[in-house]
Amino acid sequence: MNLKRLFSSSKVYVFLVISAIVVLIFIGSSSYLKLSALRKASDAISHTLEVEKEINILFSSYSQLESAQLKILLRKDTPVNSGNFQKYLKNADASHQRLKILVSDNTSQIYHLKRIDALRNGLIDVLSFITNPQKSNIRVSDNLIKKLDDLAYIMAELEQHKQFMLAKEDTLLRDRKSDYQSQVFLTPMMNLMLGIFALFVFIISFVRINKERKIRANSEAFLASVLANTENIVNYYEPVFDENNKIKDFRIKYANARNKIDLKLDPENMKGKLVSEVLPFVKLHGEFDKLLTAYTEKKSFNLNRQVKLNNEFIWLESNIRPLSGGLLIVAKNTSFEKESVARLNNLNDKLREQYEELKDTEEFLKNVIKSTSNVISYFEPIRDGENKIFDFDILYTNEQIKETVGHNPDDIKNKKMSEVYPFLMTDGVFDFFVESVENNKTISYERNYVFNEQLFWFYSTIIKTGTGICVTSQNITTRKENEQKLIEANEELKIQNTILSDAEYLAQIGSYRWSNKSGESTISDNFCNLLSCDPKSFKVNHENYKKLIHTNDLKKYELELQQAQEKNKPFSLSYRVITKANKIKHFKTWGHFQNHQLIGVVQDVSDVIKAELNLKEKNEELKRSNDELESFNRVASHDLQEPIRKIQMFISRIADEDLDNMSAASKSYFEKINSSSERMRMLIKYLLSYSRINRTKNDFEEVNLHHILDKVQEDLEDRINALNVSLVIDDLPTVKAIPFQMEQLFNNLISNAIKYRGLENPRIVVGFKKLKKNEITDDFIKKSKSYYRISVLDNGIGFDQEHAEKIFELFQRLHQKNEYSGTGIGLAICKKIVQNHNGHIIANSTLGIGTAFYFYLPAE
Amino acid sequence: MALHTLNIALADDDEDDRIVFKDAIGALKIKTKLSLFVNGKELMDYLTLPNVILPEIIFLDLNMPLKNGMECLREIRENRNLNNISVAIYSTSSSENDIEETFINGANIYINKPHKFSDLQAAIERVLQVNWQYQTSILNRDNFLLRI
Amino acid sequence: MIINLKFDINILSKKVLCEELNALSVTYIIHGFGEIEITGMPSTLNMATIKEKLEAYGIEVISDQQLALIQRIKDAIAVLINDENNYKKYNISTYLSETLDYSYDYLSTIFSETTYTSIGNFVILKKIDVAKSLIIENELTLTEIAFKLNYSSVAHLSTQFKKTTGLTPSTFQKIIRKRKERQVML
Repeated sequence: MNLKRLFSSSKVYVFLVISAIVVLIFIGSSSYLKLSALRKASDAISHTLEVEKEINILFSSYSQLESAQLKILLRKDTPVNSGNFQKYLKNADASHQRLKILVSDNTSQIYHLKRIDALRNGLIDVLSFITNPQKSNIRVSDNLIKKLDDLAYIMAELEQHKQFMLAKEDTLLRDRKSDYQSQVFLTPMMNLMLGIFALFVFIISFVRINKERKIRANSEAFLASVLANTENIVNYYEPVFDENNKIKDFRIKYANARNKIDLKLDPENMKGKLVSEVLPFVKLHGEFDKLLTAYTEKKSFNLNRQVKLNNEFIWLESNIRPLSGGLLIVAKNTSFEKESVARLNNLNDKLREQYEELKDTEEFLKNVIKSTSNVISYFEPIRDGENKIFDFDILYTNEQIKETVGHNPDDIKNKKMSEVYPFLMTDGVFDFFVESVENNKTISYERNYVFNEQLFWFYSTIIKTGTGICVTSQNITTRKENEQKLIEANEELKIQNTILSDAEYLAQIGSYRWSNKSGESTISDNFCNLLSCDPKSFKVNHENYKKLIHTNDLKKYELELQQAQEKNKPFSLSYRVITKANKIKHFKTWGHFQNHQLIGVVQDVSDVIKAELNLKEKNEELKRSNDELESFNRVASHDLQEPIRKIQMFISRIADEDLDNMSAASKSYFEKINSSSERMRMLIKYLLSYSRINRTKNDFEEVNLHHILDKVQEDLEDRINALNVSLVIDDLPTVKAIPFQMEQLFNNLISNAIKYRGLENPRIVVGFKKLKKNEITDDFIKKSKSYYRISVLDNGIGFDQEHAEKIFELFQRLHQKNEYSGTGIGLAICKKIVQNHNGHIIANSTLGIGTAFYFYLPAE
Repeated sequence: MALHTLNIALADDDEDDRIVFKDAIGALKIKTKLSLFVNGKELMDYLTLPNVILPEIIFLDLNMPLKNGMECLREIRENRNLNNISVAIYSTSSSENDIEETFINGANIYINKPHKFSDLQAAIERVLQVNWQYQTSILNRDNFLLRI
Repeated sequence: MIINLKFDINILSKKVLCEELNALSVTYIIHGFGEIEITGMPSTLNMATIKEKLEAYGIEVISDQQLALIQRIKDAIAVLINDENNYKKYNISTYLSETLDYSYDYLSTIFSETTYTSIGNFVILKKIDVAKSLIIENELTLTEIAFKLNYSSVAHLSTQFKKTTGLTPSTFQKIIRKRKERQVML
């Protein structure tokens, strides 16, 4: 029903309540106002009366004053009585003051009062004057009369004023009375209305309340049943305070039936008991404090914990909230739930794990695909109406495609194979794809293509995956290139090997590799040749080889081997082997150890050794023969000198004694003997000096040729002076030479130049020139880079150039003995000396003009 | 010198050389007393006799049997008593080195055996003359080197 | 340790002479050039003893007047040669005759007769002898030596050296050096 609805809707109630309140307030306030007005009115009346009274008092006071003063005047009282004057004055003033206050709202009254005040003053004056004791005369002075007149005047005025004021007040009184009258009627009416209204409201309220009570009772019952039947434990605690007004515990004010089920506690028993008693777990884990906090701070909180009660573990989820003066606890036994949740969580975790694993795998797979250097693609076949595959969709290609073909994987995604790789359709790859799909085969193939002007080799594998195929292509370009390089290198190596073999053959070298592991030792073909053995004939290893080594050399071979291995130095040795052909050969080997293998070469030096031996022998022979010759030479010369000397000595003695006594014939014979013996002496002398020309390194000195020539000049001084020889010596170098031999050399050359002089005065020029090796045209073995060419030029008789070489031979002369004395040894000596110094001597001459002798000495 | 008789010794294994030497010395105006020895041993034996009158100058051939001239030279120079005697090596042609060697070993004079008698005379005379100066004058005998 | 010494014979002989004579308590006056005048000697002493004592040092008492003169000539020459300044000024003949107060002819005759060599020869010999000493000392170059001994050039010295000794100065030097080495080894 609408009305019911109206009644039950809260809004209306609110409105009603508000309006009721408003009305009540209104009525109340207006009543109040009325009452106050009434009061005011009565007040005003009383006020007016008051004022009137006061006025009367005032004026009575003034009258008193007057009379008092007149009394005095009349009685001529002592001042003691003036006390009364003062008293009455005080009363008057006080009344005046009160009046002032009372009429402060009325301007005309105030005016009057003011006048009165003024009059008062006048009055006082007059009165005072009147009562002045100094006035001893009772004469009624003029002044006094005046004053009394004044007084009367004043009093009259005062009276006037009083009348006025009173009149005023009367009017006021009348007004106010009427006012009051009007008020008197309304006000109680108002109050009555108020009461009735209030009662009305009250009745309505009561009705409502009752209704509410009924509802409440229903609700309570409902609540109780709910609580009883709820699955939650609902308890209500009230705090228990101790002496210090602190909460020490809680009392269970209410516990619902659920407690029995969940906590196995009888709610009836619980009620009124202490929480700590019944539910001891509260005292644990700070729960109690939480309860405290909830209560004191009026905060709700939740607890979710496992508690022990009566030796059982129960999961309780409790909500504690402050309610009224206590705590409402709603708890649920969540043990079962918890377990379920736990199980569920477990399952969840497992699932999550699996999910993570899957994710990892996916990630891993992604990375593999990303990081692989292979191109991985996935193709989905496109079939025509007859279910025959005619093309493939490129569903996925990894990044690697960029490196090779240059495509962006995203660009070619979902495009057709015939579009992107048209060339694959024709070169058999498409067929492979089809076969793989149809027959579920894994196929591998190699192909090469040119992308971006580069040649690529690919090795691809097709695997059927799902409905499509996964193609992995490996870029084997480098491998192919390397293969090619290897083949080329191999070819090169083969060529090198042939060259090496040839080299080995030519140099008579063989190479070997001795290994500790059997079957690994190898020797080169030429090695076998050197050993005169068939490469197949013996098992190639170090031990077998050692059997071929000469017994005498085996020991040193082993020793050297050991040394080389221990000290990690090269294996170098010369030793003999007995070849399969039973020949002794000298081998020289050079090898080193590498990875427990002995690798090296041998060289057949038999020939070399033989040659060396030969040479040695020959050398020794030569030396011996030379030595023999030399000593023979020396001894011969030396020993020959003795007899020659004696001969000459005795010749000279005979000559001294008996030359004059000899016959002419004897004299001439004697002379011949003399000359012969002299000749012989010269020969022997020169031969001796010739034989003495040899060299030892120590004899070489830095020789200043000028000094040498000075000596030579000295030696030949006599002849030079006697024959007017002009000997011009140019700048001469300092050479490394044997000084004495240099002396001999120059001596011989210059002596010759003097001896073979022409008709004119002999002129000999000695000079030199430094020449580089390649500037010298004369043919001789030039070991030095540069040479000094020393020249001895004369203007003598010269000789035919065709004899230029002969003259240096021993005993070779170009003239008769009687023409020019000479041994034929002199120039041979010169040549020998020059040769001794690693030099060379030549002669240039023109018959009748002169001769030039040039000899070269090494300049360094 | 005119008043003085020079004591001279010669050791040479060759008889002819001895005779020739004797003749050559005899022909000199210088007064000499010549002692001849056939080999080095004889010479040294003589020289080392006690209270022997030592020669002022000894002529030594190099090539002698039993004891050659070089050995004698060395011995003479090592012998304090004999150290003051002038020693002249009187030999056939030797190499420069050999000649120097004799000087180095202490010889004062080296004479190449001349081929002519007159040369020999002149050589001996010169040697004696110079030697005399060294003996009688304030010349440094240590530096007495003469080569003929 | 090898020390090279140079002997001034004159000082040496003079000192020895004086020491000996003093030891013998002989009073004397040195007239120079190998001539002393004995002014007094102890009665116990006779000439023979003096002679004996002096002979031990190789100091001969020359009885012969002529011999004495020869000696003085030699000494004078020695002095002259060693004093390079004087030598340049004088020639031998003038120097000697003035120093010894005899005619050069007389001096040279006496000299040749007794010593069997001419003054000229002796001078050369002496010069070369000095040269030898100087060469051995090795403090002066050959040029300086030549100059000191009033030779016109090194060549001149070398020539005369070779003529006199038969050896070149360098050969001579070499020989002496090797001799010394040999002696050290011994």
